[in-house]
Amino acid sequence: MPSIRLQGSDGEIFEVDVELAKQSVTIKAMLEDLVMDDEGDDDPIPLTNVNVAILKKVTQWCTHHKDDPPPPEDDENKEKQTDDITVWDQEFLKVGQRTLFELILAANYLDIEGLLNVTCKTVASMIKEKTEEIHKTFTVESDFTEEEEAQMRKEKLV
Amino acid sequence: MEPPMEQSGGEQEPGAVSRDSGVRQTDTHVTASRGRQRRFTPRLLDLPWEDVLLPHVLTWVPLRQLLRLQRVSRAFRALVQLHLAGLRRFDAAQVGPQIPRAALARLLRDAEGLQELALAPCHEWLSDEDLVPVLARNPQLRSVALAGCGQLSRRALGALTEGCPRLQRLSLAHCDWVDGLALRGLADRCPALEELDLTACRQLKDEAIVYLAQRRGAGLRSLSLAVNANVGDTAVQELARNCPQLEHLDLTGCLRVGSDGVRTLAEYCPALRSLRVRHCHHVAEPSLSRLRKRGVDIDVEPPLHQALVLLQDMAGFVPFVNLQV
Repeated sequence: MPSIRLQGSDGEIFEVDVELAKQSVTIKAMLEDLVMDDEGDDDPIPLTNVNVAILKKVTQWCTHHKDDPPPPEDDENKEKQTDDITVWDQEFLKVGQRTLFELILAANYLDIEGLLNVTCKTVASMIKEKTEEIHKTFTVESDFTEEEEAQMRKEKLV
Repeated sequence: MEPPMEQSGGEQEPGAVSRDSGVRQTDTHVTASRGRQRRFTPRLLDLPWEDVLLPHVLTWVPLRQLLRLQRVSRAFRALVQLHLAGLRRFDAAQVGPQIPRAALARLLRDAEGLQELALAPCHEWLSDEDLVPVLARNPQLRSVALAGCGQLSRRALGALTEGCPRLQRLSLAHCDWVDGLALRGLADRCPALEELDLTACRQLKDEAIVYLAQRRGAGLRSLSLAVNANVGDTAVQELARNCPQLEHLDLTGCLRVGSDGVRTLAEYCPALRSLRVRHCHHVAEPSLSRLRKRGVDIDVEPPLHQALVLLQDMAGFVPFVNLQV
């Protein structure tokens, strides 16, 4: 199986199967550019926005999902559900927030729709479940003034 | 507190208030192109707003919860407001059973791309002043639901027909201010109209419906004239002749509609799938039978005797039934 070499943001080189790598639309485009350039294909592809630790996780996901059918067209009228994440994906995403967000950033940069989808849905579930505790869950501090807080309480919508 | 962070892939909206102090924002590509990137801890709002949070995260969160997010911090509020500005569908019922007027105004203040708008929960107080600005800002509206909004007037309807040429679905159920003039205005200026609910728009008479049929009938798929005592066979027949695509027609409680109207429907409307004629005392069963045979869903049960005859015709056999007449 032909493989390509990717260079993470930390400089480390990581080798991965070409077909798996093509799940990333970004990498696929880069490969097409490289072939057209006809340059020495030993140079690793630089991925300046993703470190190798996350690349490994991404590869793990892509390996498991390599035979997935393409996702259906986004139907705006469909009820938005976040509880249809597969058990494997749920387990895979039982990681700290830092890793979860890094996975999202990687999936966005590498343009891997399925991974972006499932990681974002996971975050959305966290927001849904913990709306009252957002401050704690996401380590955010309120920066409203007292007056603003009072005003918001007065205008309380829900 | 927290160490200074470099931005990675994050895009802060130009208008948004800056987040927690001490955070410098540097352009992703500038940083990256300088070589190795310092590892930092991304937090929720560090994720790209336009590319990730708005299209892929917030879209999964119910509106009601998103509104509560506004109170978390300024940045969250800015994010939610961006989300509201980009809304395509707004259903007041998603917010809660009752929305204060000021709250609705704030919610819809920035929206400019709405395609669907449902405001029935606001029916008790929604006025022209509340609605007209929203309509003016949202020319893409395709579906508008204003059931029970008794405080509105022709002015609101005028703003709608003027500003929203793509209007396909409109509910004015129980808007008893809707008169012939209003309906004619609607018929004149809504080329895309397909579904119209005029339940209990009691002022409407046959002439207005005839006008609607002749002007807009070609595209009409679904129409409700339920509980309109002034509507009769003239209107129904004109609808039949001008609405070849009509699929659903609700004439519940249209006391003046009779068998003639229904027969004409049967003759002219090949696409008809459902018909409501409950409490139409002048509609006799024989006029309905042709539609029943075509499989049209009719809300009135046929009398038992007729049912048996129907069965014979449809199934081609005489059912074995011990009938006590």
